[in-house]
Formats: sequence, C-alpha cells, structure tokens
Amino acid sequence: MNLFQWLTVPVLIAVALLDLAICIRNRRRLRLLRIAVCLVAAGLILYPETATSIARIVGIGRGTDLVVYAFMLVTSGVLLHFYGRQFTLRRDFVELARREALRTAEPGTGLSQFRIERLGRGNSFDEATSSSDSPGRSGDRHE
Amino acid sequence: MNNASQRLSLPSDVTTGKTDLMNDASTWVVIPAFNEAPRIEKTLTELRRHFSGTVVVVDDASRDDTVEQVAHFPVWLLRHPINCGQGAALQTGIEFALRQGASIVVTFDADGQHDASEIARLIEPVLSGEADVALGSRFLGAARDIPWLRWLTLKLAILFTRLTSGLPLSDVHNGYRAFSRHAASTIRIQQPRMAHASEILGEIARHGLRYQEVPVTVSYLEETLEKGQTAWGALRITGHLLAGRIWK
Repeated sequence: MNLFQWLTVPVLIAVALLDLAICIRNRRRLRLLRIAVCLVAAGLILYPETATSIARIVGIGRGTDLVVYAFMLVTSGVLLHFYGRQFTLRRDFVELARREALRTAEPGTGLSQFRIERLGRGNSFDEATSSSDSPGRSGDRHE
Repeated sequence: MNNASQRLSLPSDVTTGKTDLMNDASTWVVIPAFNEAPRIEKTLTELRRHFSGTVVVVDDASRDDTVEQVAHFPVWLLRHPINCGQGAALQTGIEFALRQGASIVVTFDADGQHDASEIARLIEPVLSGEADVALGSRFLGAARDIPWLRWLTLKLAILFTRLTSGLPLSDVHNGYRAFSRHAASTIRIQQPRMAHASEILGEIARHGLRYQEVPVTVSYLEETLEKGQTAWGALRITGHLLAGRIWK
C-alpha cells in the first residue's frame, strides 16, 4: 500500500463502521448509503485496477471515467436530497409564520365598532392575546 | 394602529348588486398583500364601495408601508413575520376567515387588477349552491391591456392544467375566486408561492369539488405587470408543483 492508501482507507473504514453502528441502532437508510460509498471508495483506492475492470464491463472505457460518472450521480442525489429537505423545512417555516399571524390578528380603524361586535364570539386569537383585550383595542404585536 | 374609537367615514354611494350574504359578516374577502403601498389604499377604497362584508388583509412581511396604509381601513390585518409567498398568505387569510365563521371566502388581489363590483356575480354560483368554488375567468370576461407574452404564458398554463388536473378551464391563474365554507375547509394550500394557483385547481379536481367559471375583468397596469407571471416564473411553478408531489 502507498501513502495515499494508508491515509485514506483506514479513515473511510472507520467512518463506515461508525455509521454502521448508528445505522443498526437507528435504522437510518441514508447512513447505509454513506457506508456503501465509504466501502466502495476504500475498495477502489486499495485496488484501483478494479475500477478499470468494472468500467470495461459496463462499456465506459476508463476507470477514471467510471469514478467521475459515479461521483456526478452521487452528488446529484445528494443535492436532490438537500433540496427536498429545504423544501419541507420551508413549509415548516410558513406554518410557524402563519401561527404567529393568526395569533396577532389586528382590527383596523373602525372595524372594532361593528365587526367584532357582530362576530361576538370567543375566538382562538382572542384567547391567544391578552385577556384584558376589549373590543376595539388594537392587539399588541409581539416582536 | 389608531385608536378604535376613531371612525372611518365609509362612502355613501354604495352600488347595487349586493346580496344579503355580501353584507353579512359571514362573507369574507381575503387579500394577500406584499409591498402594495402604492395601490392598496385605492384597492380597499374600491372594495368598500361594493362590498360591506368582512375583509382580511394578510401582509406578507412587506418592506414598504403597506401595513400603515391598511391600518386606516375597517379590515382585519394579519402579518406574516417573514415573507412566505402569496399562496401562504392566502391560506393564512382563509384559515382566519374560517375560524371566524365565514360561509363564503373570496380571494382578491391587492394590486387593483380585480373589479370589486363583480364580487356579487362571482359568488352567485356558490350562494345558490350550484358550485363549491367559483373561478373568475378573464378570458370569459375581459383582460384589459394584457401583454401578448402574458397572454401566451396563460394559454400554455391552461394546457398544462388540462393535462395535469383534467379541468377544462379557460383561465387557470386568476386570483379572483369564491369558495364555499366546505371548499375552503377542504382545500389546503401548501404551495407557498405562485404555484398555489395550480395547486388549488389540482385540489378541486382531487376532491371532486363542484366549480363554475364566472366572467370577470382583469385590468393590467404597467406597475402591476412587473409583479405578474412571466414565462420563467411558469417554469419555476412547474418545478415547485413537481417538488410538492415528491416531498409531501
């Protein structure tokens, strides 16, 4: 083994073993994928001619091309995963913003005279704001 | 916010065409607003001339004085602490209206593109029970000064909607709508930004809600064209809709 292999392979195997332990405990699919990537990377670093053999079998040609293609596919998958996380996270932010908006609803000038009276019922937003609110009082905003 | 003891003088020349339910507190108009300070006052003034039901404005973290403008009107004001998008603001306003007992919820743009005098005609199918949702259509009504590229984009959107939801509509991106309480409670807008328009139609189709198109007028002003839908925006909407289906 050369210096590069000594430096990288033990690290990759250690990361894979750590993830495997957590994965077994928590059943995390993403960690399984990460373990697989680490082990494959370690294998290709230890036996670089394997990449060339595999590349020839699948008709790509060179081992380095195989590695580049695999890297692009894995990166695309990771980016898609994080986009999805960002998408759902944004939805959570919107829900929080909505709750705040509903909690701090304010009647405009002149509204309290006839709209609140016509509604005349206990509302969730009334309960959420100060109990001393009386019809017509502008709700305090919580900054 | 001004002291509630200050009364706002409402215009006395209220036009005809109102039904009892329009004057009743159980008909609500929901207006999402973002940076509409130059237009919101005129929009609300015109709205109050033709509609004396309950109005709720949902400010989507505007950076101008939209909130200060709205505060002078007898409307409910809700404020998102961060900018969430028009779809999110609509859902917030609809949810508030439902909590207050709304029987009919009308969505209305803040930029003055919609004609408030057409509210009575818009809600008629919902009032009569013929439909759960009334959808305004500029192509059945009038689209004043619509740029050709906007016209083309909207026509392509119609085709897209027919392919995805199966709804044979003439206008699929019109913010002028009326929902019965049942429809407003059933539809949950999860697309926070502009894809909500297509999402609403998808929900109508998915839940089998009865709908009817109503001719309405949409007026295009130069200042509002910048905020409207572009061809690039249409591509983004498609991406957001796809993402919404993948990551539920």
